Amino acid sequence: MIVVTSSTNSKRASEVGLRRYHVVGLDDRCEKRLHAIINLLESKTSSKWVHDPVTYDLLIIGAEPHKTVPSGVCQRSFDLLTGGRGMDCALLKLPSIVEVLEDVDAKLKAASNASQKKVSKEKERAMQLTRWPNTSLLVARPDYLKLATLLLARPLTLSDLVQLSGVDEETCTAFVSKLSEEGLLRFSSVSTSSNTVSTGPGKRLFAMIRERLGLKPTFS
Amino acid sequence: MIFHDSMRDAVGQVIDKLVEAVGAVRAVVVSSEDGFELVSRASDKSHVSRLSAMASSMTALGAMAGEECKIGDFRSITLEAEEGVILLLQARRPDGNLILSVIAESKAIIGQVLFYSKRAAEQLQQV
Amino acid sequence: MEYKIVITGVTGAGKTTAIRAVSEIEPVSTDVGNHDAAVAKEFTTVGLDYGEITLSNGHVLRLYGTPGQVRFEFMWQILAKGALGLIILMDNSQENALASLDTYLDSFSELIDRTACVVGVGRLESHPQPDLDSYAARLAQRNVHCPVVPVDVRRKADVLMLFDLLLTQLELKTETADDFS
Repeated sequence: MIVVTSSTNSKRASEVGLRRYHVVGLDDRCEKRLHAIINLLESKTSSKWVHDPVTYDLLIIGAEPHKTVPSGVCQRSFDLLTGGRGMDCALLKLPSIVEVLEDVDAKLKAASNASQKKVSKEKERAMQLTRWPNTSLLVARPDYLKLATLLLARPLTLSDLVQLSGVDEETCTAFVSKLSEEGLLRFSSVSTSSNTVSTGPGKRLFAMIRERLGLKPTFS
Repeated sequence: MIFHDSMRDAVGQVIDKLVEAVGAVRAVVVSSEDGFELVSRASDKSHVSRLSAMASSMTALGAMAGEECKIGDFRSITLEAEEGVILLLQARRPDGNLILSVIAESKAIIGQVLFYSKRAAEQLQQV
Repeated sequence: MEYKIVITGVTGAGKTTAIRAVSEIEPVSTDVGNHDAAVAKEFTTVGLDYGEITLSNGHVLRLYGTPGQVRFEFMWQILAKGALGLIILMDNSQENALASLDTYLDSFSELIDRTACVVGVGRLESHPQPDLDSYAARLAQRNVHCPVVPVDVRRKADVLMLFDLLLTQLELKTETADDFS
């Protein structure tokens, strides 16, 4: 019997279509076999599942039910093994594995949509950083530096931010959520669209300077 | 650059002689190349430290311009204004160049100011 | 119309080095022997550092490095006139870093308000205090909205990053075509 737990931690910004899992409590051979099978199942699952011992959406635990389950984590048991020890332990019920992965995937998607709906409501509101954020908020991804600079300069809607930075919406949303949680954003009803970003010679000048310095252009 | 008292005294004497020799000198400042005042004679001392820094910048820029035009080592700058003249001269020394700034009123005879200031600058090379 | 970007900051922070990293010409410097006991450097800038970048339309972007010491504040004013933006370089190995930062924020306040600014802090690895958060807090306190990032001006990529962040702000803040024609 293998007990499977899944995390519904929606704060983690997963890459689109990618899910992470970790395995504990299985012997080496079983674990290796499990990795191989999940890999093979890629075409059958909605998302691609990769093994990540550090950050994971799903933890597969062998044998005993996990004694201390953190809040926000659901725990269910599934019978994934057929047969007994030895060679047979290597036979894992494929359809069951797919079911479990899909089930967890669906739960994660639902949780993520719920939190995104909250952010989406503010999607059309313009926001601006009230001050430069602390390092801890910026270190997670190199893109955050650019996003913070843009948000510091003037009020932007989420769409503006995505468009100007060229960074994907999920990352932008995750960053904005973090900033919002820390109370660093000021929201205004004035919705500034990208059309008002300078289109005159000023912009050309800066574009020329960027070009000459070998810097990537600002998306607009 | 450490300005010993004995050096200050010697410099003081040089510029006293300059002030004596030329009429209508409003102020004389000897400063280090990087803008620190060494000795000065001025009725209004409040400007002296800023002047020392400015003299440093102007001399440095003047030297740069001279190099750019390939006219040899820098010697002096004459700044003429409506009511006066500022002369900046360099005194080369192994322990660090000095800058002599002479501020004179318009009624001063420019040739005279230049002559005595150059002499003072030469003396400053030796003290 | 002159295009220029000013780089200021404490003596020894690497203003000349930063300009050299991006300038087409070898930077022209008004370096003289340093006699300021407070600064452990052989040479110090008393006038300015000058570098150039030629743009595709033939115009020149001038890079000016200022002297670091506050006694050359008049040079800061001269060089700041009509500049596109400001980069402030700090050296965390020097004492009273935040007080020094205040000096630049004060003297260049008009330029910062009119354009944009980036603060680059050097030598953080060997001198972690004050940390970046302290700098950020000080900027917030002074109501100056600009990024503060760690830099090593000997690395060209770091210097380019400073320019990148400056340009990003300028691009967003420049509304009208009239500003730069």
